[in-house]
Amino acid sequence: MLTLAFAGCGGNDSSTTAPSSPAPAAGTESFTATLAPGGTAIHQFNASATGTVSVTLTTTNPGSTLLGLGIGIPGGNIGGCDLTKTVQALPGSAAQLTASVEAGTYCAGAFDVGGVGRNGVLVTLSVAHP
Amino acid sequence: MRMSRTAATSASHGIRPFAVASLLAIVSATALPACGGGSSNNTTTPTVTVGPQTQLFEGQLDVGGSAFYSFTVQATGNANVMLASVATSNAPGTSSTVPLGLAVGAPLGTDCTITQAVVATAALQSPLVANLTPGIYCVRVYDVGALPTRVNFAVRIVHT
Repeated sequence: MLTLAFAGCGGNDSSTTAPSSPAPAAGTESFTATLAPGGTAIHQFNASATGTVSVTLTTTNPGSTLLGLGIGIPGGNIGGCDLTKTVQALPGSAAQLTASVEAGTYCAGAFDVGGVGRNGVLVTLSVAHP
Repeated sequence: MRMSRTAATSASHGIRPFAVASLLAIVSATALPACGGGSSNNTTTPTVTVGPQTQLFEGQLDVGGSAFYSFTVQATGNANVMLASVATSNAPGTSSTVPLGLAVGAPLGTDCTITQAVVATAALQSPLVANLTPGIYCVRVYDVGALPTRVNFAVRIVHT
C-alpha cells in the first residue's frame, strides 16, 4: 500500500502522460469467413490517413466463385456496413475494388450474388489501407 | 506476504497488528499531500480537450425529398460531412451513384437553414468541410432533381 501511495510522486519531473490508445497505422489485413447463401462477410478496419484502400478477394472454396465485394462505413445496413461502392469479382491476386478514403473507420467485405451453394463458400479477403 | 511478515515481527515485539496498520495509514495520509514538492502554491486549471465526435445520419430519401440531422459542436473546428452511402435498397449490390445535395446549416424551427452546400455522389471522402464555432448545427440531404426512386442514404459527420 505504501508503494502505491508513493508511486505518484514524481520528484522534479513535471511531465504527465495522457491515456493513449494504439494509433491506427497503414497496413494490410486479411480475414477469412464462411459465406452462407445470401450472406455477407464484413470486416472493419481503420485508415490512418487519406489514401487508397484496395480490397482483394484472394481465394474462395469452392474455387472461382463469383461474389460481390463492397466497401463503406460501419452502419445499420448490410452486415453492419453501409456500402459505398460494390463490384462483382472472381478470386485473384490483384485488387478487384479500390476506393479513396480519408482517415477513419471503414468496413469491407464480400456478399453472395447468387452463386453460393447451400454448403456456403469459404472466402479469404485482404484489405490494404493507408 | 510482506504484510504478514511485518505483522508477525511486530507481534513478537509486543506491537499489535492493528497498530501497525494504523501507523501505515497515518504515514500514507501524511505522505500523499507532500506530492508536488515546491510547486504547492501553484494551481493548474484542468484543460478539457474536445476530441472529434463521429455521428451517423441514416435514412431514406424520397424523390424530391429532403431530410436533416442536428448535432452539437462543442469547440471551434472543422466538421467533415461525408455522403458515404446511397443505395436503392437494403440489399448488397444496390449502391447508387446518383448525386444528392449535401448541406450544413443551422436548425430553425422544425427546419434546417442551409449555409453551405455541395452536390455529391457517395464516396469515402468528405466533400463538405465547414469550420464551425460551438453551437447547434444541422446536416441536410436532399434530392437535386436526379433521384429516380427512393434511396437509402448514410452520412458520416465528424466534428469537434
